[in-house]
Amino acid sequence: MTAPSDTPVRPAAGAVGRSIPRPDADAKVRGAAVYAVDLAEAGLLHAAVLRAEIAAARIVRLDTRAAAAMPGVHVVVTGADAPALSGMLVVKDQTVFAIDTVRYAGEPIAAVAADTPAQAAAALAAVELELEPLDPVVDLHAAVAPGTRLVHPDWATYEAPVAGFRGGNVAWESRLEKGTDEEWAAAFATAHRVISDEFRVPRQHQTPIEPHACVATYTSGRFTVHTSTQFPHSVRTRTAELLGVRPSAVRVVVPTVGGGFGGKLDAMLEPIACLLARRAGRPVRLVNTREEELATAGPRENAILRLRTAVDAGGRILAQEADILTDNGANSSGETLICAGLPALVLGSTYRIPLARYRTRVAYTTTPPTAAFRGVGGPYVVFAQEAHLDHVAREAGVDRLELRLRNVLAAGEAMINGQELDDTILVQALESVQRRVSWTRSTTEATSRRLRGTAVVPLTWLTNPGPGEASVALSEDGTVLVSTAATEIGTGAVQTGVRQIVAERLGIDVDDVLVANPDTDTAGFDNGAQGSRTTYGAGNAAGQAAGELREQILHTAAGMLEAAEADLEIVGDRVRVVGSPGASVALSAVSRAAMWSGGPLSATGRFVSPPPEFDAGCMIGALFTTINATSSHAHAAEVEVDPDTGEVTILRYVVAQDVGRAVNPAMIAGQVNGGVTQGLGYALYEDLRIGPDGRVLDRDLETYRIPTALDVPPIDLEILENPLRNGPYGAKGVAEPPIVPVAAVVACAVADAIGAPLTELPLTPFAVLAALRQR
Amino acid sequence: MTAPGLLARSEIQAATSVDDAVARLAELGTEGAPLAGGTWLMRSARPPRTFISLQRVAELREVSVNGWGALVTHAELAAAALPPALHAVRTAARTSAFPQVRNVATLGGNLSARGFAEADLVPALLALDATVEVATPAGRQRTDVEAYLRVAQSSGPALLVSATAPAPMGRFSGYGRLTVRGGGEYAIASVAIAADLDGARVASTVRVAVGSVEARARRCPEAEALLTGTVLDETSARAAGRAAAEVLTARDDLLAPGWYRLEVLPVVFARAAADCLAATPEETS
Amino acid sequence: MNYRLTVNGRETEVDVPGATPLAEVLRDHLHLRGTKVGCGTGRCGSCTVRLGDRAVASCILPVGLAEDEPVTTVEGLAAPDGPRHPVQDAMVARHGVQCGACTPGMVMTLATFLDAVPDPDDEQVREALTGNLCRCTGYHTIVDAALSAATARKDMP
Repeated sequence: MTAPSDTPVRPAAGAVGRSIPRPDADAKVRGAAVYAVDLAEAGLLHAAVLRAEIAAARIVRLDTRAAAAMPGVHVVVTGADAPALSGMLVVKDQTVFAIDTVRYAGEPIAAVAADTPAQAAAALAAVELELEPLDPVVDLHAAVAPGTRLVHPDWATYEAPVAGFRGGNVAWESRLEKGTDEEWAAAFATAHRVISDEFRVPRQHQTPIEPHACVATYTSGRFTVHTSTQFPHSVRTRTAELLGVRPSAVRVVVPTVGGGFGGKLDAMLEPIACLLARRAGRPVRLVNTREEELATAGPRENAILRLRTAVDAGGRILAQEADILTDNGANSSGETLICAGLPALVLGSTYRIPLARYRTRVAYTTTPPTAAFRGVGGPYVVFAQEAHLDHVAREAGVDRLELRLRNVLAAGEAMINGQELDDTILVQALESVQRRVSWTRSTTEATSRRLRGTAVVPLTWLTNPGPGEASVALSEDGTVLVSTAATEIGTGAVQTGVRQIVAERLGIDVDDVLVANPDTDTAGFDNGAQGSRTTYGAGNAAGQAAGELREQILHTAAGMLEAAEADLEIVGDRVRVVGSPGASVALSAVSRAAMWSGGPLSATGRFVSPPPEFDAGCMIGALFTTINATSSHAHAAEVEVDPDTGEVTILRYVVAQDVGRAVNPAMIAGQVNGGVTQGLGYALYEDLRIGPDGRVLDRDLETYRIPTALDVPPIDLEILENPLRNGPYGAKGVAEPPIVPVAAVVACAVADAIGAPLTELPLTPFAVLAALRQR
Repeated sequence: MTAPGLLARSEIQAATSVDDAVARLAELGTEGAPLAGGTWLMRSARPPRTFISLQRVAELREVSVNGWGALVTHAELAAAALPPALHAVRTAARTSAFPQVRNVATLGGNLSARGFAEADLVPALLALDATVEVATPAGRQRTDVEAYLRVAQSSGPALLVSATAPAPMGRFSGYGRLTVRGGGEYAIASVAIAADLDGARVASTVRVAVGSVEARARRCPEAEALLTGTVLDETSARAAGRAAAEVLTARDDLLAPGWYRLEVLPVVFARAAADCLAATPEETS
Repeated sequence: MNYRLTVNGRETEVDVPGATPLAEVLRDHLHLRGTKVGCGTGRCGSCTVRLGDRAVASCILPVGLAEDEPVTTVEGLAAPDGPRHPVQDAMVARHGVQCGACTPGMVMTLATFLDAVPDPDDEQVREALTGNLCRCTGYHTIVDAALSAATARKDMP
């Protein structure tokens, strides 16, 4: 596998490294961009989903005959139409509709397609449904306690392609153990201090402004679904499995996507729309209301984390134990199981942990399934680790920053999984933020009543290594068309990142690189817009393809110019002989010449990052074992707390982010601003609450508070360039790291300000005032 | 989980005058409701079959020095040049909701919305000793805001025509509210204070109203008594807030726990007092 | 009921119940799908359009209240094949756009706001944006765009 950065790089054409505006912005500011919610076609039917109103029940009776006879109704479908089991890569425990048993409030029971939305809604009301309530399972500790009712009594019969620990309401268990029992006992026996803490974190909802939406059609045995997704091939595979057809029977096409943040990685509405389209013989549109989004579209999981750490007198970590319990919800349609191995890696990839006993259990509950949200478990694991380390520093009598500097991993050391951390610049990142925060402190004065605090947090993060493919073709006018299933969800990774890499590689103008919308019928596999991977993975694939296309262009042009290929360069829209400005040929002419000699010029590139060496022996049940393409970060904040109200004001927020190579600095700043803002929401406001009956309580954007324009502090970013060996032009993933340390930084800074520990998120004014009163 | 109003879309009839609106509402009974800006009613889970739009009733848009027709919007109130006595209503309008709602939501709607504990203009008008003119099939009458709130929460074809508040020289008023985020949301607690202040800022004729804390905004005589005869400043305002917290019974809901609404009252009282004092001669000179 | 609207300078008539949200009429009847419906309860601001000289949330504005003043949607701010409005230009140039779902609402709020407050400061822009939620950008680039558009408008002849 040859990554573009492994080959000699020509003198830069100036595409990489420039803050070019995104080319899709024009259509977006004019309201001309077409999203899934905007799709319309002749004969379109409108679908609506009947969802369970209670969290746990046996379905006693379900009769859709009256609903099917309602005016304008074309078809009603239920679980009888889709009995197949599926799951997001691990345990297959999910059906499209509840069959016999309701496992969460909001679970689909039936769906209808009608001529108008009002008719569809009226038909839902006519479905006859009788439920016999069962005991809800909501509390995480209770869920895994012996004797609790099983959410899936048939769990043992479910197919799981990967072997692992599971049983009863433990949907998955993952362990990482490092060190012998003797070493472990010795560490605790000789420890200067042993500190224990428990932390609790809530669900956080992705809340993209565009809800889930799709339009499905069915023709000649194949489904076509236009949908708002971050991962078209995932939607293809999962929809096919749920419908009981082969993946190639499903074609996924992606229009403009109005945000994802992890919430649009999996199939959700697509299987329902496809079932209705097949039965109705008409295109079917299905769009979530905002209430359905909040109540049913999988959020970041809630979790309880217990940490116990032994340290020596200098505050050096000797051993650490973690027991983490996370909420899978009612089934494994999200990524929560796959990510069960992640907390252990997060705990041990920033700090040196000589001995570890880490366990993560993912519990079934009768609540909506949880799923991926930018940074997955990272934000809460880092919050727990950092708040815990502040406690350790206090008990050990070591300065908070000094404690971190003593424990932070250095280049060449091994991370918790035995993998070598070869290119870390954590200390440099810490110095970067510390320099800028110190400056702030000396120039601002606290007002009389308000309390001030600061915190600094280092972070090692990763880039998803997953596979991707991209093709490039030279058009007859000299432009280049990129075809890929890599999906632009707003980050700019495809619209600017991939295009800039292709332009740079070829030497042509960025404006002459066009990108087709993702279509699983015309583009090869891509692992989706997740884990900060698009510029890296799809960029590498597209860059490799562009490199091959360049060779083809030069080969054809060499014949036309009667020059050696080695003497040619592509500049703008022409191929020219180096040193002979007069001797050149237009790319359009090259394209036409090639057409009738060797054939059209095009190439396909591919990329996957091979797993680095690691110690597989220390992990059991981990589906996530290595930390690919590590990057180094530090965040710092200065906060002010109003002692009368508990309100937290972030005075200043400082970020140092290792991006490998800055392909487009403006887009990087956009990811950092947006990621930090979502992190502030998680730290301060966001809490998708679930009642004791298992129902989601927050059902609109009044009570589920996301940050407004008034809530975002100035964010001072220093981009650190620490090139990645196998990144395109050295680039690493950028989008996830900015959200990961935010809650930790804010919680530690607020705790510093109020002089009391904080062990739960979010730090609402209510929580902070309560903590102040209990000091 | 269908979108509000998706099943049943109400029809709208446009009233031509106050009398016309009242007559139509009387005829429709529980099947009808008056419609001003619609920002509250359009989110209702159970809208009536027919709305009587007041949009074209010119009388409802009339404004005087100290009176406002029911259709005056929050944005218009926020931009109005008002004497210091009426300052609280301006602050309440200016800090409520966000532009898209302030541009449409009306004074009449704010006073008449059912179950709207956080309505910002209500505590302001209560503190300002405002009266409202109400049209019914039996004719028009003037009543105080408290009495109107009771009527509006019940039912009957009573149409709010206008609100008027006295604005004597030497009277000052202010409004304060607290939100979890910087703004753009319902108040956790809101306070309006109106008082006659002498040169030394000693308060008399004090009226205080607290919104958002209980199910409906209400006057708070205990806080009024505490402020009467004392210098209005942050200290006295905080003390009045503590007195109010003693007597109010706070709501728990998804926006805030009840204990918190009470706990922050001293601060919100202080904000209202500061807003009040901002218009006094010493501050403005 | 029939309602006569003027949308983007064009007179049109729709036959719908009067309490039908203006956003639904614009999108489904007049095929102006630039206006987005992000929440349906008037909170996210992606449905913002201009009614007369006011920015309004069209998902909670009954079409029956939209007859008396002209409606301008994001499609009406600039000709489809013509130069962009200064706010649109600045949103592109200052990187105020990511996923774009909030963008039409942001553009309409800012264009309306700058007509009323031609020379705003940062805080005024933020206050004006309180009704428009963005989940991607963290708002800074949108505020930058507004301030830059204000400057550009001042420099226009």
